[in-house]
Amino acid sequence: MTKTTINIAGNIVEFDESTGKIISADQTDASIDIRKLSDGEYSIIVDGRSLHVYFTRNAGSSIAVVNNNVIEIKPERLRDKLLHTLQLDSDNHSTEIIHIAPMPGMVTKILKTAGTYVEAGAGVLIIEAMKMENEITTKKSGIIKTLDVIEKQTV
Amino acid sequence: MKKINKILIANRGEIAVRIHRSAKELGINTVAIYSDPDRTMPHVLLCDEAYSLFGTSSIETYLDIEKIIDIALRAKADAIHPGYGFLSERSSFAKAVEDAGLIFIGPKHETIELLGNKTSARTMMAANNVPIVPGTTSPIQNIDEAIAIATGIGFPVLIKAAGGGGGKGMRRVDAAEELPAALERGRNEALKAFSDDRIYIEKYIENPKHIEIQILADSRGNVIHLGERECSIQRRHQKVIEECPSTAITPALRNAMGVTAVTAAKSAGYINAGTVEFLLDSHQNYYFLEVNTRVQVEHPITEMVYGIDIIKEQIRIAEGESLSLSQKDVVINGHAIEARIYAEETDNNFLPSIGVITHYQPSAGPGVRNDAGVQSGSEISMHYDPMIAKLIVHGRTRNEAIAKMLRALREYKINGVHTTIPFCEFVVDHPEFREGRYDINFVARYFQKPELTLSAAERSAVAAVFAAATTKNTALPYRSTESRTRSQWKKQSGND
Repeated sequence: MTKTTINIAGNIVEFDESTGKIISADQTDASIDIRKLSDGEYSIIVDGRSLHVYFTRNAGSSIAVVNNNVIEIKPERLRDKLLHTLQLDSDNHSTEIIHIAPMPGMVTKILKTAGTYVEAGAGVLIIEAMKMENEITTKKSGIIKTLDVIEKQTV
Repeated sequence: MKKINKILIANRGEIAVRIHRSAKELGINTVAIYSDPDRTMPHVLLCDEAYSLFGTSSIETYLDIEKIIDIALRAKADAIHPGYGFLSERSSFAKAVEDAGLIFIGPKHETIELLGNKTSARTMMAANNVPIVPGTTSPIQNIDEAIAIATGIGFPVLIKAAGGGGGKGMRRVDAAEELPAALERGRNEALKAFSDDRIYIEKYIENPKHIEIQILADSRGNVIHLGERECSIQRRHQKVIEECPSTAITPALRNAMGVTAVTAAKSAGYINAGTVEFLLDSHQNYYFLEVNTRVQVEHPITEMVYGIDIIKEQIRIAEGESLSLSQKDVVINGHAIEARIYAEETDNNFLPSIGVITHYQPSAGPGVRNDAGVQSGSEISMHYDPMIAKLIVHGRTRNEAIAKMLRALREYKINGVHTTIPFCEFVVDHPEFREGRYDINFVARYFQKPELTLSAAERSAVAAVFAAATTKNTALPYRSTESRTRSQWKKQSGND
């Protein structure tokens, strides 16, 4: 049995990857009807509520689009699981995060340099894509360790 | 003027499709142009003829005046429709089209030039008694002058950079003692952003509504207005949801603003369809903003309410015909709302979301119109605007239109890119929107990331289907034949 744990919108579900069967889940008493509509597209009816779902698998984290709302699906690593069990939010304890350009474009302006302390939500640089300037902000407070781009660079 | 037989559509996406449709209904053939990535887009597939622009970026394709006119001449088109965006408001393009002996479906190039310059447009409107936001028409020289002017207008005032745009160098000032520091900071910001430190002062309009009047003017001197559109729901200073009529406009005010818009059009010698934009304050005072010398993105809501095809009117006007209706024929019928569906990450500051639309199934049904320029397989790229489609609904009343919009948004199916559909649902379902009590600050004031509430069972089911769908095992974790029985989880999980 290959036990896999995934985190869907903060909810932990364990299932057996070889059979696809649920090992443990928070809710065990629901009527569920699932039909595949096309590749990656499903209709799921849970206790009468109709959900239209698309799945897109990416490296690291995948998404489910449920009735047009995007939900992240994260395969849990053992370390995360332990932290979760210990009621610790792993996001608040990791010391380093990497920001990758969320879209292709050109870096038009760098607002903060390496070594600067930034508050969560502060703008670090501006990427121009589709004729719009998009401010790229930090997810958490901390010191910028390295900034691997320069102004006018295409990312 | 002469009858038009073939139109080159100098645009892409939904507006190119929209123009094609009206042209075909008038018995006119259409010519599409396309960039390399757009080869399989609907506008290329639909038009009678299509020619490559050989290139990818806007600059080397849809903005290349020479290439476009060359194609029009080779294809023997007799007119060019510019749509919106791209070259639509470039007077040099309109002039080049005229010089090539072709008909430009839009105002004369002199009119575009005159109204495109905000300062000259404002001066001309003021001279014709069109109300403009009170303020200075020449740059502020010194602080004493600034205090005198601001006191004359009345606080709060807005400090604005002449170089203008994007909120840079712009700040609100509430009292005379704040003025020196604010002026200094505004100057510095403007100098950095636009290399131009000239500053203007104007009255700060608190929580205004964005109201615009659609006008039609033919070459025989007939000018009419088609009421208003309210476009106050904006993000990134761009409209997202528009409605017609506006809840803030009484018949008397509609008439007054309509007459003002007609005056504005006449004073500019305007011919063809255009839009006069105003700010409306909470005391029903309205102030001229600018004239858009082209068809607007949100024109369909006016079409639905007044039963008029604005693109057909544009073509008829360009052929030298009279308007197909007079002011007394313009009668409101029901209520229309438009939601613009963008490929954007609503919960990530509306960043564009690029990718291939792998599945596309727009909503339909009574009173629903979907103006789209994409289909399954279309790519939303970084090169062009990320708008996917415009969803327009028409109901007998505003409440019916709201209900229709919500059900149509829920019916829409798009996969491959993130969309603003949950954002649009949030807005249209919001109590303040339902009551019609909203202004241009709505999004900043109320918007929160919409959360889809899923029960634990629903989350588990989605997770399990994901697991089954993306692992080697393709079997679904539940058999549909057992769907009517309870306790599926227990049976399937083997926990009982």
